[in-house]
Formats: sequence, structure tokens, C-alpha cells
Amino acid sequence: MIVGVALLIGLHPISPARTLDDYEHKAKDTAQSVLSSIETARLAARVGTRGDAFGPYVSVMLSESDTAVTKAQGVFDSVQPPDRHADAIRTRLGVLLNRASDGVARLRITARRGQLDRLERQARPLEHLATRLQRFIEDPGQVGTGAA
Amino acid sequence: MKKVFGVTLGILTAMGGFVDIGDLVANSATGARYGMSLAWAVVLGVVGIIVFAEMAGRVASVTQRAVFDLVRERLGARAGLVNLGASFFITVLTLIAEVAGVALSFQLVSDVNYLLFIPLVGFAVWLVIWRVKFTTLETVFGLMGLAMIVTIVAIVQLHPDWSSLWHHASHPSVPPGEGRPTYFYFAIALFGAAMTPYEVFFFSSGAVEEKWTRSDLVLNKANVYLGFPLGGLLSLSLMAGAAVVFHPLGVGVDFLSQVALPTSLALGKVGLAFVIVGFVACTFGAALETALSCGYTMSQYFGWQWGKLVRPREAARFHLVVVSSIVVAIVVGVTAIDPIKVTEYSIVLSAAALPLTYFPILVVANDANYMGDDVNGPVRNAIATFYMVLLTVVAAATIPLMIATKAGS
Repeated sequence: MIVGVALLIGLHPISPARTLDDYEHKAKDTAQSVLSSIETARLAARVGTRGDAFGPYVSVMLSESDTAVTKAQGVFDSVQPPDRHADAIRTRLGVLLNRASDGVARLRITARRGQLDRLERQARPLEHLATRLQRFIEDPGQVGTGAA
Repeated sequence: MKKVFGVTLGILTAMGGFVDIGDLVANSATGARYGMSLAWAVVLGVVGIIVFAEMAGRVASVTQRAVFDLVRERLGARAGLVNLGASFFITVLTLIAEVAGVALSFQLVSDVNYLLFIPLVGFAVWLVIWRVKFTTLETVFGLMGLAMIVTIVAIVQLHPDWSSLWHHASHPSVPPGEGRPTYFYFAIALFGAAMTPYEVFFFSSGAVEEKWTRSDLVLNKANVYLGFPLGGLLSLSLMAGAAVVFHPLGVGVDFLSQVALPTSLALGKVGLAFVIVGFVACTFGAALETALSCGYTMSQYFGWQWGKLVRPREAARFHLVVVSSIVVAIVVGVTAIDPIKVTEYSIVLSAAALPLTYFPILVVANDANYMGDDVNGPVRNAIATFYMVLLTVVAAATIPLMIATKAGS
């Protein structure tokens, strides 16, 4: 029974968002997870460019960050928005997630090409993106401002 | 010199027990999420494992009997079988994670997918168990694991605000925005990780393998009082590294690569090289411990001949269990199941089975018929009784908390 419970929890079934509140909560969690991946990618870029880490290590870390962003984005995309307000949240976060995905993927590609010296410069736009994600986490319901 | 190397059993046990793949990630993940406010759970676990590992080593030295031998005798065949089922399942789960953990460590230096390394690592684990002497493997992996001390150096080099770290550690509280159940779920994970049953299976069986007697009781104490606190200190340094680097940025730790990042930031490539060597030693050491523990528990319960000192032909069933466990670890590992999640589940589930492992040790350590003058004193009994109550509460709370918090997510 214990193993069954653990397996059920471990499979992390995606529960539907039945209310706006629930949807906001899921959006916030997704933003938090992507923010974590972005900050990890920025740190990886820093140690890569400054010569504080081996190329394969930096490459692995950026690949994992890239995979984590893609996964978080995929999970959030699969959640049905319950109403029009939720549609707006989905659009706003969707733009941020796309930018995060592009930015981290670019870093991964650069690291795989062995151009570690370029990483820190390429990671600069992620700082601004991290700030916007942080703002989204603080107030996911703030929509229609064109902030995205 | 022999005495110095004799302490390596404790160091290897502590490295594998405290600083295996799950602990590497769990301690860093907790530090990143809660800062140092869960350091108390590590300290509580370290004291608990010291108390019970010392007892298990003393019982093994005096009676030449390992833990699972006593489990069957004291719990009876049926309850012992339930305990065997739970312990064996949890140990195999941990073995799966450790084999994958070694492969992940190799991935960090090669950028080759870890799944390709898993069969090779499994084969290497079997080969070492089959060919290498017990004392050699404990010395080599115990000493290699000392490379993890670099994480302590890294903390110093990061120039943290020591008073803030100490304040968080000494005034634990649930951070704003975090639920109390999740906080205690992580506390149980850290506590369960420190007191994982396979540590005492391995430690007591190792003492029997090394033919410890009453004259080795000092060595037993040296192993326990040096090895386990060292493991605990390394756990705390991993937590502190994550608290300093990740916590302010809101970064969660989900990958082994992130665990090495504070050291890389502080000490550059040299530090990174040390920490990755430490990862390999700890996870490989833990893979050896868990694979052997699978054989030990099964053989000791059924009364089969067991151990590395016995010729394989005479302990065929012991070796068959070890090899089968390694094969299961390889087969499950190459399915790309998340090794970090596997270990997290194994340490939390092991928390639910802790009283069944530690109760028989406490009973036998108080039995003058077995132990003679070496029975527990009143202070040790008081501490052990407190821990038995705590272990029972933890065991009862584990599954409800797991459900309530969706495994801490």
C-alpha cells in the first residue's frame, strides 16, 4: 500500500485547474520553477566564462536547465485555463516562458560548441527576464498591462 | 597504522550513508529552499545514527552476529519477514539510485548521457565486490570520499555571513510562504537519510566480516564517533553552500550538477575536480554498501552462509542475491527513471521502517546473556528510548505527510 501511494504521488498527475485561483497558483509555481532554471543557467554561464568549471560540466548544467524549462512549459501548456482572466495569465506567462526557453537553449548550444567565453555575455538578457518572472510571481493576476 | 586504517569502515559507512546521491541532493535542496533552518534535522539524525550504530557495532563485536540475524530472532519469523521485505525493497531502491548517481557523476566530466554509463557502473560494482578484499574497498572508497571535505573549504571561501547562518540554524522556523507540513516532510527526509537502515546492516556486517571482537570496541567507538559526525558535517556544509548560493536567488536544486556549483564558484576547476571525485567515491561506496546489504539482509534472515571472507562457492546464495540486485538496479536505471526521485522516495520510505530495524538492536544491547558487561548504560538507554519514541512518531507521520504535501512538491 505504501509503495502504491508513493508511486501515485511520484507520477505527479497533472490535476485540472477548476478555478482562476487554482490556475494562478499553477502559473506561479511554473514561473518559480522556470526562474530557478534561469538563475542556474546564469550561474553556469558565469563559471563557464570565468574558467571556474570544465566545459562538459557547464554543458550538462545548461542542458538540464533547458530540459527543466521545456518540461515546466509543457506541463503548464497542458493545463486548461478556466476563464478569460486565466487566458490572459496564460498569454502573459507564455511569452515569458518562450523567452526563457529560447535564452537557455541558446546558452546550451553555445556551451556545446565550446564557446564558453561567450556565455556570460549571452546570459545578460536572462537577468531582465528573471526580474519580470519575479514580478509575475508576486502578482500573477496583473494582466492587460502589456508588461509581457 | 593498522588502527588508523581501521577507522575507514566508519568513514566509508558515513560517506555512503550520509553523503550518497539522495543526501547530496536532499541536503542541497533543503539548503536552497529553507536556508539553514532544517540543520537541526541533520544533527538529530547524526546523534541517532551514532547511538544505534555504536550499539550495532558493539553487539556485532561481542556476539559476532549482525543486525538482521538479531531481527529475525527478536521479532520472530513473520515480523522479521515483513521487515526483510521492507528493508530489502528500500535497499534495492537505494542501489538503483546509487548506480545511477555514479553514472551521473561521470556525465559531469564527459557530457555523455549517464544512461550509457549505468551498465558499466553496475558491472564495476559487481567486479569490486567479487574481486576486491573488504578492507581494500573500505580503505580506498573511504579515503577517496574525503575529497568531499572540499565542500567545507568552499563554504569558508564563499565568505558567508556566519552569524546569519548560525542564527537560521539555531532559531529554526518555517519561512514565510512555506507550509508547515512541507517543512516537516523535508525534516523527515533529512532524518531518514541520516538513519537509513542499510547503514547499520552494512556497519554491523562489516564488523563481523572484519572479525571484530571485544578488543575492537575502541575501534568501534572511533569509527562511529569520527565517521558519522564527519558525514554529518559534510551534509551541513552541502546545506550551507546551497543556503549561501541558491537560497537568495530562489533556485531549487533538482540535479546533481547543481550540488557542485557552490564549490565551483568558490574554488574554480580544482575544487570542482575534488567535489566530482568525492561524488564518485560516495555514490560508488554507497552502491557497494547497498549491494552488499541486499545480500547480508537476505542471507542473515534465512541463515545462509554470507560474506566476502567466505569463498563464493560456499556463499553462492549470498552472491546470487548481490548479483541479482545489481542486475535489477541496471535494468531499472536504464529506463531513465529519475534517480534523484528514486532516492528521495527510498529515504522517506525508509523513515517509515526505522523502528523495525532499530528496536531489536536496542533489545539485544540490553541483554546481559549476550552482552555480558557490555550492555547499555542508563544514559545510552535514555537516549535510545527517546529515539525509539521519535522513530515511531516519524514512522507514523511519514506517509500522511507524503500524501498531504505531494512528496514535498
